[in-house]
Amino acid sequence: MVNRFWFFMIVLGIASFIIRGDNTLIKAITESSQRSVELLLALLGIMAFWSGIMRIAEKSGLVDVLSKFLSPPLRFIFPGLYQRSKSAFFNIIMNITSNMLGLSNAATPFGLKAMEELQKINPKKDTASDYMVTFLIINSASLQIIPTTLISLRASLGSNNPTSIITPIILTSLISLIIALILDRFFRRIFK
Amino acid sequence: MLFIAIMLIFILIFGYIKGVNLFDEFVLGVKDGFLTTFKIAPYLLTMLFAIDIFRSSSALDFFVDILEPVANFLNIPKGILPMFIIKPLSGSGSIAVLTDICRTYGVDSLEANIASVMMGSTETIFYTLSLYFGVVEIKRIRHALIVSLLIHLISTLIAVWIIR
Repeated sequence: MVNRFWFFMIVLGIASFIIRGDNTLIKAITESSQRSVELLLALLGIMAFWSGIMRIAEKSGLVDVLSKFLSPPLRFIFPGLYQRSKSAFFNIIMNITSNMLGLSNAATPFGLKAMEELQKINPKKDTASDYMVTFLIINSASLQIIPTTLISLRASLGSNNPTSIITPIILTSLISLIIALILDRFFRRIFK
Repeated sequence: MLFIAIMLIFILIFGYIKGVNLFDEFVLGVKDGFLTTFKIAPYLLTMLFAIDIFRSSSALDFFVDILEPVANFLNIPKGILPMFIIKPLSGSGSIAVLTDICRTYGVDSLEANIASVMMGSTETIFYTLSLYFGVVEIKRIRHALIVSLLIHLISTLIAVWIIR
């Protein structure tokens, strides 16, 4: 999919340079590479800072503290799961908590483990269970408190207030998470 | 801004109380950060080459103009349409598109702010679904994709509404 996207963008781009008789293609490519490398250099520094901070958060067990707060609402969202598979429940909590803190490298292994545990208690092995669909829909709503890469990128591009988007992001994620859970309950009956 | 400052001081003091070796762990974190940046760099450059050529040839404007009626109907600025299309598909692609939007409209512009909120509040749906379902060999994913795509649209509309 991405491969096709890339192909169409670059080929249509070059073709339209040719059609319009524009001979600034090489200039455009050179400018593009210069700007991209400048961006990467700026990003390298600010990403280093946030990764340092988040490493401390990870090592201090902040994820465990946050996951305790998440346990009650998740028991409500995944009814009966805690009794049926503690391991699945635990991995789901860790995945969501890591995602919230923007630790996406840590989140993926927990997420995959959660899927394996959910598959163990899934009666129809080729069909997604209600728990699995709910879990992935929560992932799609993407609740994040500290979007580190995003803040770094905005800072690197010279934003006056790189963190101004945090409150809108949390609000947007929360509202769409609630709508997502309602839609999940609704569509569950249609897609058996 | 204040939220981030409080968050930072909380993380540091919490780590200190818990007996974490702050200096050493920060250094290791910086190393992680370098590795992450190096890891995304080739993808970012590859996508930015294509996007920059596509945009500077004015081919992007052509497609965005075609999609303009849809954007008007949904009451979203047409500049964020590329973000709406790329975000479900590719993480590095959406970073590149966001960069492009920030450069074109200005990093603190309405378009850039909406695209930033989309970046933070929507997910690379196709990647996540295929990875997670693929690993346990699920064939029938039921309503997972349709709800995820609906949420992508709804998140975008909420982002536009909140930023405006």
